[in-house]
Amino acid sequence: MTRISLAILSLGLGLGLVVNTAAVAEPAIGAPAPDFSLPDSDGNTRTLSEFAGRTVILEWTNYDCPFVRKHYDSGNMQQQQTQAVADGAVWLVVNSSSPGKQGHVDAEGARADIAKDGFASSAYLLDPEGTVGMAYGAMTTPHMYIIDGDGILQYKGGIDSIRSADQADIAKAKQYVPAALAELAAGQPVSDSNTRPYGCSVKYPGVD
Amino acid sequence: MPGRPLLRLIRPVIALILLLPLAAMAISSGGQRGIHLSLELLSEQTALTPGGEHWLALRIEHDPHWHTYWRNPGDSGLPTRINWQLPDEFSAGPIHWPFPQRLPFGPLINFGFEGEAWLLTPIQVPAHADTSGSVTLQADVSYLVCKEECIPGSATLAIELPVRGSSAAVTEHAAGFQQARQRLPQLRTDWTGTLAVAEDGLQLRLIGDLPARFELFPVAEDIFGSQPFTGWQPVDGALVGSGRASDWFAGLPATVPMLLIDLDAEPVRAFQFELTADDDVATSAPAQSTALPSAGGGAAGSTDAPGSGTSSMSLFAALALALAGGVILNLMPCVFPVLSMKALALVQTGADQRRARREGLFYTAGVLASFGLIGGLLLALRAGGEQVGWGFQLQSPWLVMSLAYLMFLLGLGLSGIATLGTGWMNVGQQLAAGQGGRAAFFTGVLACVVAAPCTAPFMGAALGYALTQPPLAAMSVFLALGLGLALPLLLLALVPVLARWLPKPGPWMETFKQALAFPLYLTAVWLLWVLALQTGAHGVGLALIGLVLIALAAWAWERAKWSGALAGKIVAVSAVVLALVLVPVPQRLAMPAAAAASGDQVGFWQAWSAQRLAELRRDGEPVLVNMTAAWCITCLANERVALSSDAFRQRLQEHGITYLKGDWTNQDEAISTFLAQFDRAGVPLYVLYPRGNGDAVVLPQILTPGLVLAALDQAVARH
Repeated sequence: MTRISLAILSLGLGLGLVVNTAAVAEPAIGAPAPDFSLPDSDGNTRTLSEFAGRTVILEWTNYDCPFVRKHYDSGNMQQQQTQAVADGAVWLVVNSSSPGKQGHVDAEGARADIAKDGFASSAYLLDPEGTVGMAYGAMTTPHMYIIDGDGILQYKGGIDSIRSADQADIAKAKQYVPAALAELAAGQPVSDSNTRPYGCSVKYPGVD
Repeated sequence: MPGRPLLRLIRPVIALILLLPLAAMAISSGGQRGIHLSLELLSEQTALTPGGEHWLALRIEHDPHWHTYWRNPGDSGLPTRINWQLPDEFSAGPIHWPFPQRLPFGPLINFGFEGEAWLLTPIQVPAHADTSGSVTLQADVSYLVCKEECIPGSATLAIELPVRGSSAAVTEHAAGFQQARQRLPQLRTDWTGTLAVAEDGLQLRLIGDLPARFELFPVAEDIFGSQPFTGWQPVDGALVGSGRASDWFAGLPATVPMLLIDLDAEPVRAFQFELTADDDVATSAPAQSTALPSAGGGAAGSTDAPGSGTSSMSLFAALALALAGGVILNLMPCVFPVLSMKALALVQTGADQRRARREGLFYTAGVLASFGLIGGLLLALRAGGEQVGWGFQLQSPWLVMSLAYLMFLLGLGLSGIATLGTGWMNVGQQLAAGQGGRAAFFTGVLACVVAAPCTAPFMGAALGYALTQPPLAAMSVFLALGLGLALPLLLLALVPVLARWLPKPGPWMETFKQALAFPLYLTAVWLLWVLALQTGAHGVGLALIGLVLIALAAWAWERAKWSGALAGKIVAVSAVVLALVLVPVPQRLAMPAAAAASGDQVGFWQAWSAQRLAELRRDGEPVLVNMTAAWCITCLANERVALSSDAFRQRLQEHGITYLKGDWTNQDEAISTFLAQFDRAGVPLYVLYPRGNGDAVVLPQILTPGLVLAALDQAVARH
């Protein structure tokens, strides 16, 4: 909380951008991903370290964001989740919308969304203070991360290569996550490991 | 479209039917309500003119607190896109973006627009557009509008405009267009700087007379994060600051465009300039780069950078440039073999210091005398009011042909077909070859004659300067140029140490001499090619016959020398006389410049004329002028490398830039006058006139594809 109140204070002074800049320091590719501890939609506490030895995918989400809708309404996201989980990976959906902001859900709301869209993810994590989002530098929904079994960040960036809200573009785009997972499974380095994310901004606490 | 008469016939009918539901107003698409914004397509003028450029605006009126995005949207978001549906051969340029504002959202920052935003687009009307009807210009707009949530939207806006032969009146929106143009960034080529990867981000060094308070934006998406740049400090005449690399930063491109908003100007104005990548890791990154935020998200700083007033070159600079240009001339392919011949001669006299020194001095005298003569001639012609420029020698077909003979003959000599230096009839040959003061003097003369086509890039400025200066200054520049040309050989002759470093004479010299023949043959081929452009196939045919006659003469003379037969000498002399008789003939075959250039015309450029340029500039059209000549190697290299790629053509078309080429292969007074306007007396000259009334930008004489494309982009971004 100190960091956030500090952020609000400094924003009030017109100086907050710098402080917040420091707050959105994301991990680098090839470096250990920051551990976290967050409640999921079923009330369990989830940490990154509990999945040590398994590949973990993080997906930032916001139900009504048109870019998230693009990939859920088309079934692209669920299909990627299904495949990854079937291959033994852990797929964690993270929501960093703060209370009162667009896209914020509590545990019940998250469960409703999961049911509505048929999420095939392993768990839905609630990050209303945005601390994990800022620790990872999540800027958009969707924003994707892949962490390997050793806890090393192997991919960060967009869901795919065509920045649009148009479902018709999905087939034409390179789907970065399945491509990266396939390369990791084959023991190869990830060729596109750091891409530009696109989507709605993550609704962190702060001023509008 | 001769093949589709029916379509041509019914197209207006179809257009009419399609247009019925649309507003009959010709100057606006009518407003369209989107989600959280209103869109309208506006026209600056009431009608389109064939061959003209026409400006349309997409006016976006955002609901309070809602925004759409700039070309670089920042941390999230998408730039607004317009997909134009235009009649055949109409083309639309890119969106000309007004400067954006930073839109912070929590820790994230976007670049975009709130309130009212005008996105301007130029529409190019084909020259042969039918002036009896009207056309529909349709914009398929897709946008992302955000406040807290984001909503993607799309709209189809169409505007119907008549096509009229005469110039059209402006609409009631003209004032709005003028206001919108004030928000477009102006290109500042006098602002420069570098960008380097530093430990904690990217270090910027800005050089130029920057405003005291400004806000900086990255135009490209993948370099910087969207946070404000910080830590500005004046260092060595530059303003040094730092910025965060984007999270998906993958390396620095050669140039990085930046947009700077002058916060002190009223109304606020924006500028665009370029930083170049500095590969050296910045060592003096400001320590507190992230600890010095500045008010208002902008950056305050002052700079004592040198002013931009370097328009007039000082005499000293001109002399230095001329001297350096002269030295560089030594390396030119058409000079080097001649010099090498002289260097060979020096090797032969290597043992005799005094003689080498004497030859060096004579050579220098020859060069200086020639430059003095050419300079004096130029000055005399200038005084006589005739517009001439450097390279004018090669605008005469007879001289080109004579030089081809000379090069070929020298080549034959080097190859060993004929023996050099023993009573040849050819003046240049006899005088320049062999040893002794006279030969040295005329080697200097020859070097000057052959140097003319190889005008080194920055020599143009010195010569232009010389031609616009008082005679004494002009002559000094010419002599400095000559001194530069003579310098390497002179040094070789004067400084014994250098001479000692010369390789020892030996059998290798014959091999080397023979090898040197080939550059000379190539030079002859190139001269023939110039002749082809000047006079066509007939001229080249005659020249080739002349070359055969020269070869015959060389062979016959050489044989006669051994056998002593008079017949051989008669054949040789007759052949040479016949060859020389042919020389003036191509002069009469010389073609006008435009026709000479039409050989490689592909339709993406037009012939330059002062009238055409004036017309285009009156309408504020962006124009690229390329002054070139077939004998100008720099020009040809530039055209190959940077001015003929698909990307170049496409960019011209996208931006609606008219590309005018002036051909100076043969003398052309209008072009000489144009060159003089830019203080030049030689080609190449590349002038880019930006859209609107901005000042012309002179591009460097050596072009790279990236440089040209960037300049084209900036020409249409500038107002």
